[in-house]
Amino acid sequence: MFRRSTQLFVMILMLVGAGCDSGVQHSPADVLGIAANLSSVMTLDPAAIAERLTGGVIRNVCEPLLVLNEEDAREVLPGIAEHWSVNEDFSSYTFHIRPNLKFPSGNPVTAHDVAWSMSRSLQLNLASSKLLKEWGFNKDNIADMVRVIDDLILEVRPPKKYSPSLFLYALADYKSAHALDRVEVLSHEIDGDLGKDWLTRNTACYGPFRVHTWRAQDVLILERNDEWIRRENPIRRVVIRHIPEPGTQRLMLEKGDIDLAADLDPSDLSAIEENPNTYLKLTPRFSVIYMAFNRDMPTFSDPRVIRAMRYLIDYESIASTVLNKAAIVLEAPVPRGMFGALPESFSPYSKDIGKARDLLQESGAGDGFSFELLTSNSAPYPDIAQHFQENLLKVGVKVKITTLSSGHLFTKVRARNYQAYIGGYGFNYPDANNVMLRFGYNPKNSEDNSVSVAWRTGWYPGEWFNATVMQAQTEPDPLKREKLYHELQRYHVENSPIIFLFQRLGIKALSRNVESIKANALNISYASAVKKQ
Amino acid sequence: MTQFTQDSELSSTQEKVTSGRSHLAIAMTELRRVLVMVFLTLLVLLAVTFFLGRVMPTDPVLAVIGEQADESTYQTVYKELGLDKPLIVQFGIYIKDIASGNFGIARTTGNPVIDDIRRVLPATFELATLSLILGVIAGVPLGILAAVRRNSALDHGVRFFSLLGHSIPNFWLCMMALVVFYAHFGWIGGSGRVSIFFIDTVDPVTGSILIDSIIAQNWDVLGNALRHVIMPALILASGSMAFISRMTRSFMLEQLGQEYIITARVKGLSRGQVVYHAFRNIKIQLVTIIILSYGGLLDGAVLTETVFAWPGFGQYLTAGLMNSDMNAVLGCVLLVGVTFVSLNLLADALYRILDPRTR
Repeated sequence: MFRRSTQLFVMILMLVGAGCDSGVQHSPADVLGIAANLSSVMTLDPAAIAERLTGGVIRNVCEPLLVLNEEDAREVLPGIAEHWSVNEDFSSYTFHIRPNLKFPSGNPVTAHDVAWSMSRSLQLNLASSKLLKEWGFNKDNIADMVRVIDDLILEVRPPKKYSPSLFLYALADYKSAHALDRVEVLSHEIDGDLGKDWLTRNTACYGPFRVHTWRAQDVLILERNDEWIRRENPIRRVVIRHIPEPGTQRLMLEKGDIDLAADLDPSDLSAIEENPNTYLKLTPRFSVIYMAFNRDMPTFSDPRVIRAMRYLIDYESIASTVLNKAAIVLEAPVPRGMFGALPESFSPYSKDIGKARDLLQESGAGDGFSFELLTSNSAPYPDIAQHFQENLLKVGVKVKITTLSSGHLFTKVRARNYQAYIGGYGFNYPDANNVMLRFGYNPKNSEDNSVSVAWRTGWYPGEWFNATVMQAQTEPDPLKREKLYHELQRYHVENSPIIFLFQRLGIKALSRNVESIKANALNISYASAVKKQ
Repeated sequence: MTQFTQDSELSSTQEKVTSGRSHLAIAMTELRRVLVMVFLTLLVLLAVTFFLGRVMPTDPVLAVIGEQADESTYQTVYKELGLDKPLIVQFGIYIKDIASGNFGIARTTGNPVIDDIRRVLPATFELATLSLILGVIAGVPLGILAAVRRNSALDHGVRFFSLLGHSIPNFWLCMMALVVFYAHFGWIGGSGRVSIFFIDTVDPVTGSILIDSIIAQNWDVLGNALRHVIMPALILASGSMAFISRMTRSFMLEQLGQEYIITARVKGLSRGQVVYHAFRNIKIQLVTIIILSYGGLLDGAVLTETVFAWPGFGQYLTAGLMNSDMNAVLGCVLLVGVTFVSLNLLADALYRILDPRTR
């Protein structure tokens, strides 16, 4: 009797469920449903965001002074600023803000808002301030360097006479040149925090969308900003649901319950391609996978040992098996699609056990040695490490692989407390300067530069290298600049203890309900989505 | 004689007063003892979690600023999080804040921890309560049947499934259920409490989407929510059902071996009546284990909630752990501690109320 009652109860629940559910959950044409892992979304404040997914969302909410082409990130287009001019010696840029732009609060968008937001970022000194500081701005000079001429005219004087093609990228990034609704933000200020607490959970920007609902680890809902004028936006709502499991994301996509799955495992990609209801859109990202060796370990201070390591990596086989469609081989430091990238044919190394053995012998490490290789515990890093480990064993080098959480890995790497690691890195703007500052330039080789991967490996690249990185920043002729970056990269590949392995692809696993959507190497534009009617 | 009688009446009244007082005194002492014990338990729990959290090799500052930030940003946030103070001072400040009802701000959400917990608990309660109902209405009868037909095929079957319920990882079961019942057959809803396009379509009144959709008379949402809750609830229930059925079986066996049962049988009572006699005597123990298994369901929902993306307490705790957000983790640990202690006390109290022998 009891068993029957249980069965009855469950059946009733399921029947009521099925009966009430009219099956209308399939996606409406003006709503974009996304599944993503939202667990690391900690703040919506553009001055504090340090995480990729939040960055992607905020790029759809906070339009910077200039924007990048939705399909080719190298092209700079008008954003909040309608047009701009540069003086002859590149020491001053004048931006004309579009008239009649309004924040969601109804307040007008003015030059004051941009200047105030830049200064706020430096005063708070949170994650985004690094980029402004890298361009030479600081909280003491910002008031002189970014001046409001009138409500709609802003003058920006770069701290250095950068090549304009480079410096405009500084102003096309939500991290360095966003416009917050100053009046609205300040009305929520607590104890002089410049609205930091309030902006953790709210946004006050001008852009294609505004944040309608944000419940941490649950859902983020964006709503169309009808005041956004750059072009037509067919998407009324974007619902980003927290689905931490990649496997669950895939099932939901296949069932048509979502339009886009943000974090699929590489092993799921073939299934997505084969399923008639889903497809993949792959865009090269400005994101790399690399291996770094700490020169504090004497063996690794010999460039011949590092070169031997390069010959022990089976790039093609890892790319086609472990990474499946998630990445492509990249031996040069600068990712494809970025200004200054080497030609795609650049591939000086491939697996060659014999050459590796010779180089190790030459360096005196021919009898073999052992070291610990750290990697993050998330895919695909442990698999890459294993491939590498097998090849090293063939030349008598023993590798102990230790997998750690990303947080633990960062902590060890930042403190230079490791022997070798495999890591990933995402760049912020489409110019080789970005890569060279992070992975090569290391003038003093001191702890002040702890953010640089070159310092973290203990590599001093030499005076020529450091000077050339600085020279390339100010070289006005694009062709000459490009040539300088090519030289720097070739030198880097032959001499540094950092081995670039792969360039990650932005994977958009989409439902066939989405006819098209635009994405560049940095971002996906929700407003560009066209769904089936 | 009269004197004696008067004296004896007086002394008996005094005895009554004294014994009344002593009962009260005993009760007060007992209450004090319980309170001290609860306080100490929670303090030790917090201290262990706090210090374990601080010796974790992950740097909480990097979780906030990311890998790319420079040294000055690092220092700013380091101070902001209060990490520059000695560990023991940090703990002292934390305990002082908790005493004044301030559980701190969860870095992962930017909200006060207490608000976050208040927000996520209804989802977990909804799931755990439904699971408990399923666990009880399946577990108790199965346990009784297994005891009555001891060593029969049915008993072995119940034992086998109980073992499965105990030993199959929920995580795997959840994935399989999604693959089979959601992706293949389409009988149940996928992840979350409702489908993505139904989110926020009914006003939150109670926090339980089932009740809220009934209040709003939105039957589409109710149906959708039921299709979503049924599978995680069943899977979560499988564990508690296994526990409850095993315990019911052993309680029943103990009773069925008692002399009064033999007497009842000899008296010619029907089998059902005999079983009912025995069952009446295990009710008290059953209440205790059901209450305890409810506590287990609340914190056992962690994996189920993660796979089904159920925006509840378990998922909140996991995200806190992943991002080394110690305020959130400590808040959750404290809540689990308080829940368990309270449920234990409740079980104790019910035991005393229901069983006259323990008074």
